[in-house]
Amino acid sequence: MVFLAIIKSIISGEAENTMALTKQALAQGFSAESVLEKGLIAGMDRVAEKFREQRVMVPEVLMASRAMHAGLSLVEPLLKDSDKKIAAKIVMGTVAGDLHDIGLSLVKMLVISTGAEIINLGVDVTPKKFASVVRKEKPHILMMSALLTTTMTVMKEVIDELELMGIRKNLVIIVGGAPVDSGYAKTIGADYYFEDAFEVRVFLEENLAKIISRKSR
Amino acid sequence: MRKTFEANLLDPNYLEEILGSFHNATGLHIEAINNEGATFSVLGELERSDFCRYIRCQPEGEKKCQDSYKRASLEAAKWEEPYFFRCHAGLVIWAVPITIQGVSRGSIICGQVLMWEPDHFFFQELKKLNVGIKNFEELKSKACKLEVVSPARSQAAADMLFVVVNHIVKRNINSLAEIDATRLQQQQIRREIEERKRKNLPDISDYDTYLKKERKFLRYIRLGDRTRANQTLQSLLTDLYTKTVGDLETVKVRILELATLTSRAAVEGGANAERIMMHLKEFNKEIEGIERVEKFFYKIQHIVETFLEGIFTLADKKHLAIVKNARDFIMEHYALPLTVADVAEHLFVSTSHLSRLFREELDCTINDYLTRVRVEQAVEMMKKPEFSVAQVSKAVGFQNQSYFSKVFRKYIGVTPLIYKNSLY
Repeated sequence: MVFLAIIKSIISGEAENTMALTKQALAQGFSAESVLEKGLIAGMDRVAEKFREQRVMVPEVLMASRAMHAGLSLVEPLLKDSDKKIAAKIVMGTVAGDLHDIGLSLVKMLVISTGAEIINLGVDVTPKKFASVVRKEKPHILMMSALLTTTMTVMKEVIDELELMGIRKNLVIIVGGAPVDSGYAKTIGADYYFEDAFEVRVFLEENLAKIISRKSR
Repeated sequence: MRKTFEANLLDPNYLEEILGSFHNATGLHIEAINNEGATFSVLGELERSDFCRYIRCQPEGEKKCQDSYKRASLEAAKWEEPYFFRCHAGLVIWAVPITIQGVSRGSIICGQVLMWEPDHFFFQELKKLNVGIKNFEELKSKACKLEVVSPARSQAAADMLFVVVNHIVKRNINSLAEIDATRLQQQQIRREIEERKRKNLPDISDYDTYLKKERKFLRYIRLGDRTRANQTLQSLLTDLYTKTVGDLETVKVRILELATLTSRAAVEGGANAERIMMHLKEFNKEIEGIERVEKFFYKIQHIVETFLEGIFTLADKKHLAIVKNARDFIMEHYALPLTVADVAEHLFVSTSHLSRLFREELDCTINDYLTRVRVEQAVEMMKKPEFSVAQVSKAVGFQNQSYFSKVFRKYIGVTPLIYKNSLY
């Protein structure tokens, strides 16, 4: 089974092999999305499971994430659906102090297929930075994530900052990350919480048009 | 004055000497950087690799390297342990924090290696990371000369360096232990949240639920049920963390309340009042000036543990199992017409022996304990409006309702009916 092989290859951090297997899976007719979900992400999930108790990057995780990126490099171009264009703008980033970008790049990769314009601020974004970009770009949606319990509280600071500048209204805020849940999202005043990148995309596919029309009114 | 103080803690010559030996032993490149990412000392062999020198002489090259190091150094300082990363040019590097008296002074940067043979994908990455480079083929050939170090070896090197650096800055073991405790706390919160998400438990975001859980926790304390008490406490702390969004002031108030409530519950559970109040006083002093939520959590867990120990004076460990089993048996069968003989028979010990153990370990008779369990359960059941007092009395194992009322009043202060009416 090619997906199992991809998972194994990511766990052992073999970039070249992961690439070959990804190519093989695509050639066998599996869709880019299924390769992404059942192979690459599943592999990285297994690594995350193994190193759950570790606080920081360990060499094996570094190797595994490189292997995953090797596979991603083949899958990504297939996911981009360039003929669909929609007048939506999304700003995204992880909050200050958080340097994990794997989840962020996955969300971006999947959300891009909705045709929205995406402004990825990357990792370690301060509340001030979030707020100033929101003010300048006037996006429809702001997505932020925090991967650590120590950084999840920064998401509230971001929302507070937006409130303070009077630009929270008309903005849909979506939060995510391992320590976050919908109760927490509610507590800090965010609009939605989603468990993974696929959930976000399903939501956007169904609601993006609505969000845009609500804003322009 | 300050300078000499620091010099005593971190002797630069000594640092260079030891790290130089480290370099000679392992062949790995090391340099010391400050918090801005600027190198203040390259140890051992003075040259960086061809690859690094080439990258650094590109336009803005020095600055990019410095930025990479600065960020890694910040991370390492934040986690207070070695941090592995890939620099802007694609190499594997790890930063080992130098922390003196809780203040970060920069890092030791080690590595500048690869963790894999340069392969097709690596060149692809290299190209993407180094877009502005003039002569890519040259960079490629320099990359091929980089040393390849296995993950296991680099982890070992990082661990070694960490120990060495901590030794040099005379880091004391206590502060490391405390860092571990805070970290454990973060992990527990995280695990708890993940667990909840997995089980699809409802979100807890109101104080109503929180206070209910608090009461449940205090009940477990009074009954000396350590396992359930600890579980409930962890869950309470997680609620508190998400509810307050980590706000220090609120957390502090809640923690103080919780400690006070727990102390009273422990005394009701049979702990020595004098001793408990002394512990509480110390606790209140200790948590003054704490600036991290995790530390509050760590302290409250610690004091709860101390209180629980007060309930069981763990004098004779081998007898403790019998008492514990007896308690478990009572917890499971309190609804039945239970006698001391039933409990003793279940545990294959004589009634007099069991009674003596109970008196020694819990400072109460078996019947006292059984009654306490029944009353606690009754309080819990009363919260459900559908049960009448008579039903509750029966359900928790009282044969006679007027006796139940009498006992209830003795423990709670009011009759069951008044108590029940006060709830609605």
